Amino acid sequence: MTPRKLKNSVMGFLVAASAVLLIAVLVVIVWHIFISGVKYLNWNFFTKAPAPMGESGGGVFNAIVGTFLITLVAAAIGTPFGMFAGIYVAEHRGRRFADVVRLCADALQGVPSIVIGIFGYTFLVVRFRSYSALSASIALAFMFVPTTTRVTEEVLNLVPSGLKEAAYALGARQSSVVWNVSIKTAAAGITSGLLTSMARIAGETAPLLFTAFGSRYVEWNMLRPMSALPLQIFIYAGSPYPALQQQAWSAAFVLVLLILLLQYSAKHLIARVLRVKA
Amino acid sequence: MEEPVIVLETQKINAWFGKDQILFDVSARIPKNRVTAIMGPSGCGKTTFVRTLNRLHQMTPGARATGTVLLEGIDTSTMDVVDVRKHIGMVFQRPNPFPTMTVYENVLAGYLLTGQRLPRQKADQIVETTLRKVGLWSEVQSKLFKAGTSLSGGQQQRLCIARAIAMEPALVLFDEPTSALDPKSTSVIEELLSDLTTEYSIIFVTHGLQQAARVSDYVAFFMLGELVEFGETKRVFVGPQDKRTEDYLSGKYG
Amino acid sequence: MVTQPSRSDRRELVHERIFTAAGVTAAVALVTTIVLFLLELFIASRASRAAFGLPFLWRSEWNPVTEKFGALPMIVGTLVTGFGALLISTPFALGIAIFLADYADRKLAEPIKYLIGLLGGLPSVIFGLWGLFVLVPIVSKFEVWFGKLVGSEALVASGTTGVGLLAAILLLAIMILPFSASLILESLLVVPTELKEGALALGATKWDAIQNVELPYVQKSTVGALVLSLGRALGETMAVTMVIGNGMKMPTTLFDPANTLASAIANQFLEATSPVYVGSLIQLALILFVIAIIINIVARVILRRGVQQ
Ligand SMILES: Nc1ncnc2c1ncn2[C@@H]1O[C@H](COP(=O)(O)OP(=O)(O)OP(=O)(O)O)[C@@H](O)[C@H]1O
Ligand SMILES: [Mg+2]
Repeated sequence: MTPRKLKNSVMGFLVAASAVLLIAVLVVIVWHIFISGVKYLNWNFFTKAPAPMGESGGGVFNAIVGTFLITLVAAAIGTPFGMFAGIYVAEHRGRRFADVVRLCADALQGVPSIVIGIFGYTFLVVRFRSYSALSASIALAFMFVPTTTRVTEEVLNLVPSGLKEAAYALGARQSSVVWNVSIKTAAAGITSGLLTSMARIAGETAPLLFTAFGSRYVEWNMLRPMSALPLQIFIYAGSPYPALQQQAWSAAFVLVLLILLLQYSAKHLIARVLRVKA
Repeated sequence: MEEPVIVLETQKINAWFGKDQILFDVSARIPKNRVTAIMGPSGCGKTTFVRTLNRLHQMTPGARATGTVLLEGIDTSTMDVVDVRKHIGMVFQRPNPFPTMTVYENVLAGYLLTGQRLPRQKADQIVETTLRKVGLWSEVQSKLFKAGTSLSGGQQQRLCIARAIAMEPALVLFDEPTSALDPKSTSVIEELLSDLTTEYSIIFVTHGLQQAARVSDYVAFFMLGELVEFGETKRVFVGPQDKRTEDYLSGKYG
Repeated sequence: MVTQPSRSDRRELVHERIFTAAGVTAAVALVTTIVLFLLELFIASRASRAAFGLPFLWRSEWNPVTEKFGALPMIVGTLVTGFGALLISTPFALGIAIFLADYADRKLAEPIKYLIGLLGGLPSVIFGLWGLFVLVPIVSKFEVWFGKLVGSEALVASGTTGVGLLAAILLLAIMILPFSASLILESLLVVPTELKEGALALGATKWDAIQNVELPYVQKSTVGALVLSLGRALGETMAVTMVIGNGMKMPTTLFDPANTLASAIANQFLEATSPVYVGSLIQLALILFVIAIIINIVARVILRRGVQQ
């Protein structure tokens, strides 16, 4: 074998090995979550709030409720801003300000979650003088908006320009073209993007630490402190009690399931869009 | 020879993409209830010309145009661009029915997209008469509520014609509407044109000399962004007055 | 022919105005957000600046008891974990991306891409949980073994916890791997196949073609991808917080407990009571914010250039 051929084989082996390694790591992590998570699952886990200090049993119903409420409200707040900003950028392609907006969206996507959390604290919690689920939702909305903006723009750019021109040629105004043609044509893609963004914020912990703060009770009032699955995992993971550590694993399992579900729905929608395009 | 009635007149139209000037002082008078073919080699500005008429051209970033367009004697620059487009319909090179709309909705798209609400009966009636005008009624009668994109290519293009004329425009612009279609669908659309002229005036961009000869009453010949010859099709094909037209007709340019 | 505007026309006009206003509002709000973050963090951290001024950036003492605060240990912790993770994960990220772009057929590549997406979508706190209960014990064993190897009693004695810089670096490396791999893959996929085929036709081996044609082509976008990944790593919070050990002192070895900017905030913010302590933590957030924004903008600019060439 010539050295070149040898190098070719060695490098081929190495790149394949790194792929195998990645899969191995993933399998190990998922396996741990699955095994440790399922082991301690029981009905109470889903339906009960945490047991009072010192007692055994109890569950994370409070955190499940919290994750749903906080995520949904964050998405509800963030969607209009993100979508309209995305529409703006897509409709003003090539203009200087649209480029600035896009750059800001990109930059905001890179803001560390803990910074979002601190901002939520100083901007909302300090002003309202109370920890609250709502301030957590608003903090998460700051993460939700830039991703939604980018997704909306990208999906709108996929709408064939011929369709928009046909609408304009019929005398439609821009708002009508965007709503009735672009958005409708891109609806599945945008929904998919929203679901992906929701999957992302549903797993965020740092923005909740100093805003939602956590609560041992099942809380439905957005103006009060509230728990959430990621928060509960963090707190239980750091607890010295094995029973709580076990609950952290189970909560992690539930959270991963939830996120997978959201991602799966998003993928499914995307697949449908691609089929329609083809 | 008797002067035809004019539906649209352009005066000294100039058009640019960025710094590139595409059209130079184009002045033309488009006769009413006739088919006017626009001919010329590829890239000579045919598409650009028809798109300046309904001001789609100006929507491209960096594109602009000057000059006057008179629609039935009225300077279109004094009209809201939306109204100009309601009165000048357009059919594009590729069939582009709205994929999110049914056949029925596609015919009414002009009304739906401009926020005009029609009573059910009126809507039904518009759909039927318009689809009859484009010879599509019998073919799609049973598919009215299927997606517009579920039709064949030729049917889709006729649906797009229906969509344009449902708004009762004074003038319809066709930009090479058959170039993406098979010969059969092409001849169906060609035959349609003369029927449509009883109600509408038509500008028909085409590459093909044969096609222009077959379908048009008048022909405008473009070259390098200039309108070099305009006249009755028979006259121009038999005795072109401009050397460039003659060369083109005898096949000296692509 | 020119008609009076009808009711529907006027309604459309109203829609149009609302629509335009909404678009502009959202766009302006997005831009304003960055300014708002800067202002808010700047104002909320003024107690710290009043007490320590600019030297806050390079003082290495962080002592909540005496209320003397300097950011250097956290800055060092952030840079060491960030670059350490990048250093470890980059070869693998490149390998995976090349494998998927050039070696795996579609049937194999699609599921792997799906798995990468899955790994990248796992929440940080779950990596932290796994890191704390699975990775840290392993690191701890390694520490003891390593301590015996080099004959350091201190390491054997103190290092048994496993939490510290090393655990954080390893965990971060795993976490940014899917991110950088998929970014690099994206740029590899736009390399024109003619280029590679041209090289192969000249008798080059597959690896020759990759090394001499493909990799130079994506150089810029790969750098952009790595800078973006670095930005991720520097700002990563929960996972690092859970395994880095909340050390206040300047770390001297990779086994030391330490803090990053992010983990210091997450670990200490709820305990901080005095204005100076709170202000100093917010000051850390401000530093992190500025670093993150700069890195992201730089990365995007590099990426855009990479695409344009
Ligand atoms: N979006 C654009 N940006 C810049 N230049 C353009 C653009 N569209 C067209 N052009 C240029 O304008 C000129 C005229 O184009 P136009 O499409 O009007 O020609 P055409 O006569 O319709 O050609 P064809 O027969 O190929 O359709 C061409 O030189 C073309 O390169
Ligand atoms: Mg053309």
